[in-house]
Amino acid sequence: MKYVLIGNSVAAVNAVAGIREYDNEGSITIVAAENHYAYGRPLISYWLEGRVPNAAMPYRPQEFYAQNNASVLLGRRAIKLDPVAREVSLDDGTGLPYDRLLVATGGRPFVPPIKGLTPDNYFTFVNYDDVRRLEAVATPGREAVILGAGPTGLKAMESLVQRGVQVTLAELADRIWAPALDPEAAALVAGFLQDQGVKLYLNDTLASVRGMAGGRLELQLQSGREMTADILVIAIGVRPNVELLEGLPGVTINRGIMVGPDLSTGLPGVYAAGDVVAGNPPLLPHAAIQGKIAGRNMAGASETYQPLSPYNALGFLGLHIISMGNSAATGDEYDILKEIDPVTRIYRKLVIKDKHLVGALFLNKLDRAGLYRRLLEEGTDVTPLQDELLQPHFGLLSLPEEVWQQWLVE
Amino acid sequence: MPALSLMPPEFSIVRDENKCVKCLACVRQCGFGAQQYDAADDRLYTIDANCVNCQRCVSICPTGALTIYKNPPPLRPHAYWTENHLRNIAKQAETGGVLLTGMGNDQPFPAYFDRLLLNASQVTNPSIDPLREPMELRTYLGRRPEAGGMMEGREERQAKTRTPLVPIETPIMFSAMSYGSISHEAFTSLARAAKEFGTMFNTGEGGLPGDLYDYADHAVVQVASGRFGVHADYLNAGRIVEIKIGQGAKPGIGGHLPGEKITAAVAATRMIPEGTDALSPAPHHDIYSIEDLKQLIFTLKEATRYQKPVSVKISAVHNVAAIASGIARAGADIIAIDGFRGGTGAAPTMIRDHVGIPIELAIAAVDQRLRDEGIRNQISLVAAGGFRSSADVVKAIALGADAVYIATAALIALGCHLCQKCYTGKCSWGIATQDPYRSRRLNPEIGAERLYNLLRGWSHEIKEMLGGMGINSIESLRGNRLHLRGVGLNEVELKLLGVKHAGEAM
Amino acid sequence: MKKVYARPLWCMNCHLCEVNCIVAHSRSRDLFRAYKRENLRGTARVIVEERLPLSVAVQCRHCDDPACVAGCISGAMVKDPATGIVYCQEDKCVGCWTCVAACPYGAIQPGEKNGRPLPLKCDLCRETGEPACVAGCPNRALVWEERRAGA
Repeated sequence: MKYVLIGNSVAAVNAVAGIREYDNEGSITIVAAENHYAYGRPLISYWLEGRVPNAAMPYRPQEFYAQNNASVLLGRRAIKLDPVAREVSLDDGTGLPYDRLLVATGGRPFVPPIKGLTPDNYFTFVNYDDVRRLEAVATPGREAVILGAGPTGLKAMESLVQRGVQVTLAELADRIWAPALDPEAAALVAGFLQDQGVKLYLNDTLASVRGMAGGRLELQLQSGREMTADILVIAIGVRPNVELLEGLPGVTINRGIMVGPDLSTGLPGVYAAGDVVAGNPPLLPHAAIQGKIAGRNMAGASETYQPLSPYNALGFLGLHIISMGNSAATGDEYDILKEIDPVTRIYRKLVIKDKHLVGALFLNKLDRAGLYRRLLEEGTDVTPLQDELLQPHFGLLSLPEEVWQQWLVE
Repeated sequence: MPALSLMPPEFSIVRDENKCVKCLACVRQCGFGAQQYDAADDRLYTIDANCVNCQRCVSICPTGALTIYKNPPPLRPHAYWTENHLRNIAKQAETGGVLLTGMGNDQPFPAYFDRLLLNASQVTNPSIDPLREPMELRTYLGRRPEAGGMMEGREERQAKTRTPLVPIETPIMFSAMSYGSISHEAFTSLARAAKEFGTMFNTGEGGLPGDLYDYADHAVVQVASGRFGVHADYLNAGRIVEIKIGQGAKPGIGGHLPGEKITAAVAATRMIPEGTDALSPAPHHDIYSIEDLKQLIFTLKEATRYQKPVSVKISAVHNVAAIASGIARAGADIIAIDGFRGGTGAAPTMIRDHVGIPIELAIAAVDQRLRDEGIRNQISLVAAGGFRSSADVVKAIALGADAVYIATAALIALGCHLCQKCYTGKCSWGIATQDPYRSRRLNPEIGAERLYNLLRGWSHEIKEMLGGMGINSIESLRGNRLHLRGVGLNEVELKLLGVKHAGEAM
Repeated sequence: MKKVYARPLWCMNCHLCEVNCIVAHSRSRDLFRAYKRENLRGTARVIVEERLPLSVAVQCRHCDDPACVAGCISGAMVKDPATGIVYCQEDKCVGCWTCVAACPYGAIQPGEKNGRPLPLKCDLCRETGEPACVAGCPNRALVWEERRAGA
């Protein structure tokens, strides 16, 4: 059996492990667009801060590929797929025949058309190479504008602040990280950022860029506000890299690749996993689980990927956030339980709808967060637990005895 | 608590701050609220007045940071007005109540066991090494056939009404402690250890919990004046039926298990409503004479189709020998005598400390009386009340007992530190409590192992002592008072005990 | 695999499992030094839940498909294929706490040691061989045993 994996990040690496659980014989070839072995992509901000050295960037130890008998073609792109011949063509002209193919091409940063934007006057914040470029320019005292105050923008902000850069965040929405934070939580975070000396402009985005003498940039926001900066980072989202499968019969593309419950694409032997999959939140845990399951299925298993609610843990400058499900929900259709301490910026919120936990948000007090996620994922009726849920002692013993007895012996 | 307490705390808890790591185990384990924690200040402190010196905190502390000291007497030392008297008077001046206590008589009455010494073989007769040669500790309890000279037909009739003998693998049984007075966990520990070792535990007067009927073939099932938990299945499940007339810790008075301890499970076992006080009358209201006792003995034998030996347990009191004779003649198969050191879950202090007689004297008196009347061989004599070591057991058997009951020693093996607060239901060791937070501290797996170990250790020692005397069977020691010598005893005591003084030859 | 199983019926809420856990994961492996010099109070990898009279020590279940490993952004959290033990390579952890959000038992807590982030989670004392919580439990409320094949 010949396995070819397009992509070399979290989904692909987990697919290798998944394949090897079932098949120790087949050959595995990984086509990696980047010139690096797999690294934890979210580590780039830590690398830029200097908290993670080069040596600690690899997602798996160097021996991983050898141990799993997987060969990696670094710096190669797959440009064409022939599903009938079952062959992938690479950008250097070689053809890779496959029996099973995994498309784990991930996404790329979305850069909107903005007047004056050229490839060399802005940065994105997704790849190792992005931060290597940034490292050269992010020096103390410089000024940076980050477009987008979502998780990527916030992590970029943190690493730049730690490097002594003065940061301004511009966010088109009315609050920070709008998909995860409700207005109240976002206000707590905004207050925190203000205390850290970070400027924040909401309901605003970049209208135009103009290079000035000395390499500085003159930026104009939609609101008319004008500012200058040394660094511009665009962090407003990613788009899936679907090109390889585009136009092939049997494949449906709807912003991402549509997959079946077993993560197959509709082309024989071709699977997809990770950020490239339609409807999948571009989050690392989801990519890892999909990769593992796709790998197992490619090697003959028949596992089903149970769509997982988005969840995210994000920390910056000492503030920690965990969000899951519909954490930003507000409104009468929800029962919302809350605990707020503005002084310590502790915020805990549970969103309940039709007896079920559908979202949770924790700021600075993350106790037992995973337990709530399990209740959310399992669709537990939390009505009997309402009074318990936010108590400091909430835990297994708050659940019905037959439930915790079972959990303890798992 | 009165605004002005006349007495300073009895104990002081001293914490070595250099050792304490503030793990708070002491606070969580103290059953009496003596160990406290103030989270706001992250400070541990003690309320010494609450401390009963049960030693739970000392034992649980992982760093050995705690020591409990007995405070000096509240007045200058006084040989007559002792600290106990002062404290008791002060307490009664506050409450107007009867003084209550737990466990056995703690007063400095003489312990005859400590004035008796054992013999050993030298030159003229060989001693036996129990590690190399067989040594029999098995004892049979129950009524033996009467010796010859019987009337025509009597033997046949007797065969029909003779109950079977009950073997025990060591002459040590666990004495009566009722479910309710002790926790289910403690009760289970006793039952398991008895079964595993091949001896008996005793249900006490509270019945046998339904989930422990697997152990009933090693149970002495008690029938007491309250008749709690007594029904046909219970009697027939047990191996021996015991009529409890009295208890060494509180001869002449009944029992009172407060409603707080009558949990649903205890209530079901006792067959009384949950939360009601369980009152055991002082006498059995159907027993006012030996003849009445005989009726109950045979009622129980009939109910069990003569398959269960019947034991009658009495406190060791002044006229114990004559009473024992009556019991033997009333048809009992076993007489159990409980001396004044016997323990209890709750007794009035004055009764516990001032009523009854030492078990050593009672054994000697009963054994002698039954011999004199020629009926000693018909009945088994079980002694109870304060057996602290295998040496006490050996001495009791040499004085004339067939076997002994231990309870205080068993509880000590389970963790009891004799704080004497059983009657509060707050036992920090999970023994004398029905509070599930406390009772779960006593895992019966561990409890049974500890009790088994105790029986094993004592049994080994008994074999060593027997071997030293040149005896290879516990039966050969019974009533063999030539193996005993008294030290520091006067002539009356020696005569009552039936032993010679140390230094006197055979 | 051999796992630690809690027997809440016998848990007496002494929290000594936490103490033993802390000592076992200290540099000195000494009770006094762990607390008084290394300042490790509060870094137990086992959580004793209290709902008196019930209490129970909750810890990592070393799942077959661990969500914390899947969620780990740095590759620090791994499941040892040989032993099945899920553990964190502490020098690789950046303290994002995705594992805290991932764990279906809420058995991972955010912690800190010598200024570095440290997910507080049971590693079955993989370095010493026998889980210290089990060895030190005074009432056998924790047992370390194989309960099902494979895993």
